[in-house]
Amino acid sequence: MSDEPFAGQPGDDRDEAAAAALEVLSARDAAALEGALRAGGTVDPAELREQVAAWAALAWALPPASPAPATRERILARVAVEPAPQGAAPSAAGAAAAARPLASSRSVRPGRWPVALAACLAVALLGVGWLAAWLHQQLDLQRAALAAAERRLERLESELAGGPVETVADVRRRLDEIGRQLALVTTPGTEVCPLRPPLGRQAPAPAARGLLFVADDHQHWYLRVEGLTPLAAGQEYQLWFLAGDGRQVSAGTFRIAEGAPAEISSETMPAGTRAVTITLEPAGGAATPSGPVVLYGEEAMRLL
Amino acid sequence: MSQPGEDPPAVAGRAPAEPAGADLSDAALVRRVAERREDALAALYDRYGAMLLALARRVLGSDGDAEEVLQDAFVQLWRQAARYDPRRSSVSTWLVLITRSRAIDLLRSRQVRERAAVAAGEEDPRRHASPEGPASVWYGERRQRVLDALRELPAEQRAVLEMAFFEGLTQTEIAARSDTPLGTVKTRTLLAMKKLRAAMRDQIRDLL
Repeated sequence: MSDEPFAGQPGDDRDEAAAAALEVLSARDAAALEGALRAGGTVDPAELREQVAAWAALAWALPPASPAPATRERILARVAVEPAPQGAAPSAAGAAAAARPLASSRSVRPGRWPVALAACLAVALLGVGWLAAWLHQQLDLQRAALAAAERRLERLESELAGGPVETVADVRRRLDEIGRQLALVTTPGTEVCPLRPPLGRQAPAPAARGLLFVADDHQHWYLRVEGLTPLAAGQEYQLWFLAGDGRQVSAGTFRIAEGAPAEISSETMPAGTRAVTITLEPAGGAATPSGPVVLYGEEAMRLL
Repeated sequence: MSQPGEDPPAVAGRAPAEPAGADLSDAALVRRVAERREDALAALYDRYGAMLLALARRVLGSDGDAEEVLQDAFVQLWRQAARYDPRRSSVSTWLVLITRSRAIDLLRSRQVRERAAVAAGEEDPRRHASPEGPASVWYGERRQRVLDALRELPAEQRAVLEMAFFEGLTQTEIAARSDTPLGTVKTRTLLAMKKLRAAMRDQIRDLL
């Protein structure tokens, strides 16, 4: 048998087919197998299928292993943020390429600045466009939810005294919040800082990503994080800003629901903030970062 | 409760949002995964995660790498579920192929073959066995059948199978590794595969 699996040599007998099954197990070879079967040679598809099943069954000879408890949640978190086929998320790599430190004034080399500016603008427009579209979509969804809630309220009011006023109020508050977020991310001068898992293979949430939007007053900010795994009791995520004087200032703790993004905003930020970190800490938070780093970002770019 | 490979029991009027559970066949779960049902993916993970992790660990010799491969395999299942064709292989065979392929790719790309080979030679039972591993009757029975089939093979035939399957070696590489003529390796491989299939013929129906 050659090293080329399922080369379809005339005269191959069933023994050769059996041997060929040995090498059908990579994606490349699976395609080769399919081709060989379609070729209608002397390979008996049913027999070969049996052979592949017997081959794969070798895996069952191993004692079962116990995946880490978080592995299942990580898988579900990863598939929850799998991009829709027609969607196009802004490129974090592209943003990084045109990034600069938070609250810094790195200059661009003379002669290249028009290209750099054009690249920044293109990335910024793509990012803002996507975010604006997403936020508009959220607004539409919330408006629809509000309308549905109001219709339901009307029905209930006709049956009962009072009604689910709180539900409608909640939806209205959410609508206002999304409106403020939309205003922040589309305001000229707003900077965006991508957050990524730390390099290395031990990141607690390797599929997590985040974007921090900072208004040009360097006080108002809005953070959106996706791909974090829900935590067990006794743990919380904690957000930290690295202030200009080198202190790590806590911006609070948070938890997330299964498959849901984390969204946080505030009207204050330490002076001269130059980096942002999310760590895994005991419930209630820590005085200084002590747990593993989940996400980290230190470079921001101006959107408009 | 039916076994995973069997057809699901008929359930009239099942609501679309009902969680995918252990009573569904593998193929039915994959169909639900293709419909973006995370509960179906979780059910397949609960069914095969322990076996696939053991496979990835055996190939890579590293818990961290193996967990990563396991995650990647199920993400691949999520992405490709709509393309699954039950006429080609069973779901469990398909998952084994996906996981093994990814593990072998990682093994090659990181050039850790030497480390894994050394570790495999040591045959430290603590590395492959897990006292906390799932021990369902169904899993145990299936494992015992495969072990029985393997015991029928002469040691040298079993060795070439294991080098090919768990280390991803080509027959040429096996010949070099074992200092054996290539023709002999091919003969042993053919005989081993034939015997394995013959020994497992009655059991393979569950795996098809």
